[in-house]
This record gives sequence, C-alpha cells and structure tokens, in this order.
Amino acid sequence: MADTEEFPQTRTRAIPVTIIAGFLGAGKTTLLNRILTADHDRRLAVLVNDFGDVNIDAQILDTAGVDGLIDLPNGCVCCTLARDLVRVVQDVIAIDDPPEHIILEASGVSSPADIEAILDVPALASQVQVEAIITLVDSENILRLARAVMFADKQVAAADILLVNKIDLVNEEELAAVLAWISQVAPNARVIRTQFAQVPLDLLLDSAWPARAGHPEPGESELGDGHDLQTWTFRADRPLVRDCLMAALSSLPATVYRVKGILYLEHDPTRRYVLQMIGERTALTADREWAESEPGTQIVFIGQQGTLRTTDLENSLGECVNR
Amino acid sequence: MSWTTEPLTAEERAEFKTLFEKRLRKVEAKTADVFSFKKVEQPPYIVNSSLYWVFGLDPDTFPDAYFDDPAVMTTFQERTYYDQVKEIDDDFVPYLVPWFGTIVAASAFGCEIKYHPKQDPAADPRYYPVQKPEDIKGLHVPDPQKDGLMPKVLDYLRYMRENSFLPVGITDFQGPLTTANQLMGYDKLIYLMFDQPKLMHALMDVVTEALIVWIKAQKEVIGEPLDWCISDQQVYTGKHAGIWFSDDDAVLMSPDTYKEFVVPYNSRILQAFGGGCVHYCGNATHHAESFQNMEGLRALNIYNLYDIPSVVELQKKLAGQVAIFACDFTPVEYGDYFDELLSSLSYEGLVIDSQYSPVVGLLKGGKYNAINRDLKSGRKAVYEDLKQRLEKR
Repeated sequence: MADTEEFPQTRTRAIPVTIIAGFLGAGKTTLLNRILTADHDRRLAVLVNDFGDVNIDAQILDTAGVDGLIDLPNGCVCCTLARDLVRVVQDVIAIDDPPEHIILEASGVSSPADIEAILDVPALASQVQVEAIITLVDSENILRLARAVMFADKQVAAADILLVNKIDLVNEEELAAVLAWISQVAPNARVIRTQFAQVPLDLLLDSAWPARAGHPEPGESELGDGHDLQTWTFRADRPLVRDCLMAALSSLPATVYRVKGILYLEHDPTRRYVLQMIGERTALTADREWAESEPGTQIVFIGQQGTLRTTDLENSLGECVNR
Repeated sequence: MSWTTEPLTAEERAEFKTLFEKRLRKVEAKTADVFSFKKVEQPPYIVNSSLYWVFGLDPDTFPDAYFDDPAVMTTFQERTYYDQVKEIDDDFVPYLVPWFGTIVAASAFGCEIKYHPKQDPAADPRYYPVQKPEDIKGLHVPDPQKDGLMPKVLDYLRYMRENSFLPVGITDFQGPLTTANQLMGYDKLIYLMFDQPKLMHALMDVVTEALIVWIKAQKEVIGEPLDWCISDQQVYTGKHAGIWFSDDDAVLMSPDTYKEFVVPYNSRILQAFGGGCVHYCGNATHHAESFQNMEGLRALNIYNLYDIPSVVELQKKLAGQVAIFACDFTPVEYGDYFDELLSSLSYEGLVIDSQYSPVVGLLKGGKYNAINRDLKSGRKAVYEDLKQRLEKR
C-alpha cells in the first residue's frame, strides 16, 4: 500500500489501462476475446499484438485504417501494436469518442513492468494511468517455462492479479507446486484459479459502477457465472478520514482482489473522490464536486468467496467515519 | 529534412575515398589494440546514425524504392556515409550493406515477409514454417541461389561491389537461436526444448548449417576472406573476427537452457569463420560462463539499454578474453550516460558506439522515447561532447 501522500488531491482521472500479461499460450487471447464480446456497456480500446489472434470478423477487419484502428460493433475499438506503443496509445486516446478504458495485451515475452514504465513517459503520463497488471499463468507449463527463460518470474512478480489458468489440465499435486512457486516469486499476489480464463469482468474493468450512475445496495452479494467470488459493499453518509481509510485498506488480506468506490472525505468535503484498488495497487483521485447530489461513501470489495470478513471490515472502516 | 539521396558527384566520391582510406588506417591500428587488450588512453569511439536500416531514421527521409532497387540502396548509403564522415572524425569505417531486415535466412526456410511502408521488412508471425515439431524433420539447408530473399541479397551484394569503392559487408545475420525462433515462434520453441530436446537439437543443427552455407555464399560474392569481416554492426573488426551475428533472444534464456541448446551452435559458427562477435540488446550477464566457454567468441556487441553496470560486470568477468563493444542509441541526456560509461568501464578491449537517432532517444531506465531532434547538428554535438569527455580523462 502506498503512503497517502502519494494521492494528489487535485488529480483528475486519466484513462485507466489494464495490462494483460503472460507467456504465449497462457490464455491472454481467450481473455481478450471474452472482453471484446462481453456486454460490459463500456467503451473500450483493446490493443492487441495482432488482429489474427482475436476473433474479429473478417469484414470488420477490412475496415482497419493505416493506423491499425478498427471499430467493433459493440462500440469498442481494437488496434494492433505493430507500431510504437506510445504512438498507438496517443492515437487511440485522440479519437473523437475516446475510450473509457484501455486493455493492452503485452507480448508473451515482455515484462509488464517495462510496459507500465513506457506508459509513464511525459507524453502520456497525464492522460493514461495503469490501473492493473493482470498476468495469466498456464498452470500446466509455467514451471517448465520458469526454468527455461528469465522473464516468467518477472511477469508473475509484476502482477496485481494472477490468473492461474488451465487448472483443469493439472492435478492437485501439480497445482500445489505451481502455487508454491508463485508464493515464492510473488508472495503478495492476488491469485485466482481459472479455466478458459473465465473471470468476472468486474475484476478487470470498472464496469457499471462507480463510474456509472447505478448505486449498489450495501451488504453482500455473489458474482454470477458460478465464479468463486463474493462482493461486499460498505456505505457511510458521514465523511471518512482519508489516512484512516488508507491504513485500513493497506491491511486487507490477499483474498481481496479489488476495491472500488466513491468517497466522501473529511479533508475535502465538497468534492467526491474515486478509489480504485487492485491487488496492492491503489489510486485515489479527485473527481467532480458533489454539487446537487447527496454526498456519501460507497466502497465495493470483491474477494474470494467466504474470505471477506465483513464484520471486521465494517468495524475498521466504521472507525474512519468522522462523527 | 537535410538528407538527400542524390548520387555522389565525382569530386565528392574522390574526397570520400581519400577520407575513407585515411580513416581505415587509423581504425585498423586502434582495432588491433582492442583485440590485444592493450592499455590505451582512449578507446575507439563511434558516433553515427542509423545508416542503412529504417529504425531510428526519420521515415520520411527514407527512399521508397530502397528495398526494390540496389542502386537506390547503394546511393542512399553512400550519401549518408559521406555526409557523416565529412563532419565527424570518429572511428566508424563505412561499408555497404544489403539490408532487408532481420529475416533473410528465415525467409529461405519459408517465413513469409511483410513490407510495411517506411519500416524494416519483418516476418509475418502468422505463417511459421514450423507449425508442429514433426515439421522440423522436413527442413533442409536452403540454397542461397534460389530460396527466399537470399538470391536478391546476393544480387545486391554484386551490385554494390561493382558500383562502389566502399567495402561491402554481409547482410544482417541473426544467429541460430533467433533464426529458430523466427521459424516456429518463441512459445513452441521453448516447449520443444523440454518436450523434445532431440528435435530441438535437430532444428538448431539444420539452422546452423544453413547459416554457415549462407555466409560463405555471401563472402564469396564480396570477396571477403572467411576469417575477415568488415564490421560488427558498424564496429570495424577486420582480421580480428571472421563473422558477427545477433543473439538477441539470449537475454531471455536461462543459463542452463542457453548452455545446452545455444552455445554449441554459436561456437560452431564462430569457429567456422576463425572466431567472431556476438550482438545482443539488454542484459545477458547471467550467461557470462557461457561466453567464457563459447569457442571463437572474440567480442560482445552489447546494446545495454542504459544498464551500464551490467556491462561493467561482464567486462570484468571476460577481461582479457572477450572484447566489449559498448553500444546504445544515444540517450536523451547523453552527458550523464557518457560520464557513467567512461568512469566505470575499463578501456582495455573496449569500443564505444553511440547510435544517434533524430527520432528515437534512450531514457535512463532503458526505455526508448519518440523524440524530435536535428540529425546533423545533434549528431555533431554528441560527437564533440564524447570527444571532449574522453580528452579530459
């Protein structure tokens, strides 16, 4: 958890970027195809290494311009990374209807931390912000890969969330060995076991809330599609003390994968703040004035089913409410 | 943009030839010192621009017919070399190169080639000639006179030799590991090493043999002795190395995997040409032991990506055995970079090469940034800066 001094109060939200990393064959393309075809109600830009990797209709592909950009039927845009990454991102965010979120497919041999550093160049730093690095791991092959190459551990260590994929192809003993290796390389990683890269898009995208108007009800709920995940919502009408809140968030267990919320903070009560926390990566950004709307805090926690200690969370967050 | 591809006039050509011959004598002597690891007051140093490949150039200055007409390629290279040699008295020895990207050998094995406008030719990753391990058994050593881009390169070599006084070097040479990677993709290649090591060795064997045949064919056309090579990517080597090749994928490999599947094949090529140089970008310090045991390795050409400590470490481990060419694209803040480089590396067995680009600048931390700086005045300023720093020491 970063120190609270790292959260500038006047910062406005940049376009969030999610980097999808992992060696070739780990399931990145499967995940990208799910994102591209899902009904997420978000205008996404998906930057891929090659159009040939994703399921895009040939007729749509024919519309690709010289900049490698194509419009998809669901309002998203897709672009190849055949050119310089900085220029591709600049082109994507400069289109008439810019994306709300950028998904970037890292090449199979690249270091996602290096990509994040590239996106931090002055030409882009104020316009995009890496929200998460999601690394997929092929549980059947990762241990062999780690012995053969130098980058496998870097991809894993850089992850905010690790999708240990293809678990249907390994037995319990093999999976335990993979998890043991991960615990050495990335002891604080948020690890989710998956088949066919099936993971709720709520984990990957800031979908529907809080950027959208809907307000979740406080309390617990389960994510659909049979995923072994649970959500819980904290709500407070009184302002929160920022440093207290950050301290509480820093002690969350590794089974909490994502936290997102709209915050009503005591030190700046006229403005709402947006909280995004994926793994240990936290961003708190100043948003618009509350104006006519009723100030209040709502924070959604997404974690492994059965591990969200909601009473403890309620108590620790409750202590941060300025009464 | 001030670059032009007007052919050299007779007067310019005569002046260029005089400058070239004088420079060659100077650099030959310095190079002998490098490979004998002699203690010197100044190492040879190069400040030049990307003179034959597209990456690092302002694409708008690149001739459209560069990859279609040997006269255009030759004229462009002669002109840009002349412009540079006139204004910068560094240790670069100009030579012509038939440049078709990094995929000439792979094309002869069946890789399809993509020509993107104003970019270097590249292999199309969707059409690997080795789709499954069994395909390796069907690979054969290509015929340089018939297969892929090889005949075209030979034609360009002939043209260059017949139409210029400048020496002509072999086209870009990717080593066995990178070539094998180009044939089947990195994922399949890595898993092949584990699942079917005999087939992996069979692949490396046929690729290595093909590369040796290919280099011999080129040397025959340009009249270059097997154990003599004009340059390792713009660093003059002459009689001290018969060959150079790129081994960029080395940095990704673990030490044991590299030792088992790559070192024997690199050694075979180096020995076939009386020793030579290996190039890579990044940090391959973890292969120091392999480099020590790579028979025929005379020098490492390292684009260190501003990771100078890694070069220092490697230089210490290979001292007196393998020369170091410390290369990089010229950083945006090049003064700090040169200070660190000159204060931390030994000058024994060292060459410094700073590739100045008007459109690409290296940042501290090893990232490239798109920039816009003047080619000629910027290149000259970098040269003067490095020269002065060396003279002060």
